[in-house]
Amino acid sequence: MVAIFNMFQSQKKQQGVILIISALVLLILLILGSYFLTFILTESKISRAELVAAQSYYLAEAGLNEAIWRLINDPDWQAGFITPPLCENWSANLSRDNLLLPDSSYQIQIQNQQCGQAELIATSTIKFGKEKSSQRVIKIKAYRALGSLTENSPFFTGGTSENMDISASVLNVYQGNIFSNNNINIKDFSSVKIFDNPETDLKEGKALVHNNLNLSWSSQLAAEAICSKNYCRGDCADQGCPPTNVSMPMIDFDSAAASSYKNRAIALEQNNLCSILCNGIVCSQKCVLTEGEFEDLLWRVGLNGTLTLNSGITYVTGRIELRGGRQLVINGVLVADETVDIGERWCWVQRGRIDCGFNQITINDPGINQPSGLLTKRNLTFGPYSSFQKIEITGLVYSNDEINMLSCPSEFKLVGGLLGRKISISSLWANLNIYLDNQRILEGIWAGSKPPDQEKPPYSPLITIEHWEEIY
Amino acid sequence: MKKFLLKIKKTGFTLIEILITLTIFLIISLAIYSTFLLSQRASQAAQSSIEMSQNGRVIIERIIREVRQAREVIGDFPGERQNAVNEIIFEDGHIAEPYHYVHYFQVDSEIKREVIGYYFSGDPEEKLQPWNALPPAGQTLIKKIIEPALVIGELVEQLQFWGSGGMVNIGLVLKKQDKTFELETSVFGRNF
Repeated sequence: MVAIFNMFQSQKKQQGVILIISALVLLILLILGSYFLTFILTESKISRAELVAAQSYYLAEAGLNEAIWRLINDPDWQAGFITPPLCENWSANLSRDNLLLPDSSYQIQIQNQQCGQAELIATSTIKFGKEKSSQRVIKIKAYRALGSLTENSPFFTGGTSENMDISASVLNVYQGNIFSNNNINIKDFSSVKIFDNPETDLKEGKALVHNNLNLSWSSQLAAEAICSKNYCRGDCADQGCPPTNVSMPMIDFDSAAASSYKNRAIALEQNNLCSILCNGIVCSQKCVLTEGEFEDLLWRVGLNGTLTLNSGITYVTGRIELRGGRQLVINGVLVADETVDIGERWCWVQRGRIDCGFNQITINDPGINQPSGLLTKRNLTFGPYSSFQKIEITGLVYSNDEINMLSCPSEFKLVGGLLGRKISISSLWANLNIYLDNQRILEGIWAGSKPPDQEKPPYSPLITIEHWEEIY
Repeated sequence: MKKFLLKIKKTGFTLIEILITLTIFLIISLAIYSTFLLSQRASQAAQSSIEMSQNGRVIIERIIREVRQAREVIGDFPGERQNAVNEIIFEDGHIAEPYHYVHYFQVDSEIKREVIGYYFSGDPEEKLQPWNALPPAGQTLIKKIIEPALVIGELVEQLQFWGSGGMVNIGLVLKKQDKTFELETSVFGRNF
C-alpha cells in the first residue's frame, strides 16, 4: 500500500509533463501541416506550369508553321531562302503578340546556313500570374526539297531490259538507294553496302529492284531493305515489292530549245564565257567542239598533262577518248554526242609520237544552280588504264546507254549520281564510294536549277525537326 | 485510507480544464481537417489539369499530324476566327488511295474522328468519288462511312477551326469541374 501511495506521490510531482507533451504534439502537427501546405503549393504550381507549358509549346509550333508558310508563300522570304547570292547568309525575324492567346507572343528567327537550308528558332512566351512567364524554344531545320527523279538512288539503271551487273567489286552507297528497272546481279565475291542518311526522316539505304535481285553465294549485300520481286526484306512499304518501274530521266542534249545543253553551250560561246586551259594556259575559248578539236587539245597537253574545262558547259559533237596518260579536269559539265572512253587504251600514237600512261578524270561543281558532271548519249567506259588513279566526281554521271567500269581506281568518290540504262562494274575490289546528292542529279538532268519548261523549280521545303528544347 | 481516497478525487480535471482541452482539440482537428481538405482539392485540381492536358495534347497532335499531310480541306472553311467552325473534313494524305475524307467533330464533350467517302448511287461497286463530283443524270452522291466515328479525346468545351492559304488554326477549350484549359495552335497543310 505504501508503494502505491509513493507512486501517486511521484505522479503528483510530474504533473507539468502533460504541457511538454502537448507542446511537442502541437509542434509535430504544425510541422506536418506546414509540410502539407508546401506540398499542396508545389503541386498546384506544377499543375499550372504543366498547362502553361503545353500552351507555350503549341504557340511556338504555330510560329514555326507560320514561318514555313512564309517560306513558300512570301516572295521576300522565298527569295531570301533560295536566291543566290542573298541566300548564302540570309536571315529574317518575325514577331507576333497576342495572336492566339492573350498575354502571349512568339518570335521567329530564321538564319540560312547555306542556300536552301535554314535554321528556324521559335520562341513563345506566355505571361501568367503577376510576374511569371512560361517560355518554349523550338529549333528546326528547313531544307529546300527538289524531289527525286530516281527514287533517291545515286546508283540507278533505267533500262527496262538491261541489268545492273556488279562483279568483283566493292560498292558503298551513302545516303540513298540503288535502283534497277530490271534486275540487279551481284557476283564474284562482290560487296555492296547501302546506307541510310540518318539526318533525314526518309528511310534510305534500300536496294530497289523492279524485277529480280540475283545475289551469288560468294557476294554480299548489306542494305536497310531489299525490295524486289524475289526479296521483300525490311521496310518496303513506301516502294512496294517489287517497286514500280521508274523510267530513265531524259536529258535535252541538242534539241532546238534554248534550254538544250548544246544551245546553252552556244550561248556561252557567243558571250565569250568559254575557257579551256592546256596545262594551265588558255588554249581554246570554245564551248562547242568537234571530236577532232577536242582530240587536238588533249594531244596538245602531252603526257601527264592536264586539260581543264572552265566553261561551265563544254559540248563535244562526237566521241571523247582519254588515253596516253592525260588528266582531264572538268569544272562544270562535259557533254558528248557519242561514246566517252576514259582509259580504254594505254598508248596514243599520233604524228610519230607515242604517249603511254594512266588517265585521270576529276569533275568539280562550279557552284549552286549550275550543272556539273559527264553526260553522254552513248556508252561511257572507265577502262583499265584509269586504274590506280584518284577519280573524284561531284555531279551527275549519265549515259543514255551503258556505263561500263573495268577499272581499279586508287580512290573513287562520286557525290551526285551515276545514271545509265545499263551499268556493269568490275573494280577488282577497289572501293567505289557514291554519295547521293539529289540537287546535283537534278541540275545535271535539267541543265540548271529548274526543269527546262518551267520558270520556277518545283518548290516545297521539306521540314525535319532536328531538335527542340524548353526553358521556363 | 479516507485521506488517501480524498487525495485521488482532488487529482481529477475541472470543467474549465476539460473545456480548454476540448477547444484546443477542436481547433487542432479543424486545422488538420482543413489542411487535409486543401490537399485533397489541390490533388484533384492537379489531376484535372493532367487529364485536360493529356486530352488536349492527344486531340491536337492527332489533328495536326493529319492536317499537315492532308491533300485538301473540303467544304466551307472560314478565314476569320469569329466565323470558326467546330468540325473539319479533309482528304487523307497518309494513304495512297484518294478520296478518303477524315472528319473531326465535336459531340457533347467528346471529339470524334471518322473516315467518310462518297460514291454514285448507281455504282454497285461503290467506287469512291471526290466530294464535289457531279453524279451522272438520275444518280446522287451518297456518303458512306469507311471508318466509324471513334472518340479520340474528351473533356472538350469548345473546338474551333479557321484559317486560309493553307494555314489551319485550331482552338481547343477543355473543361473539368470548374477548371478550363485553352490550347491554340496553327498548322500549315503542305499539300494544299
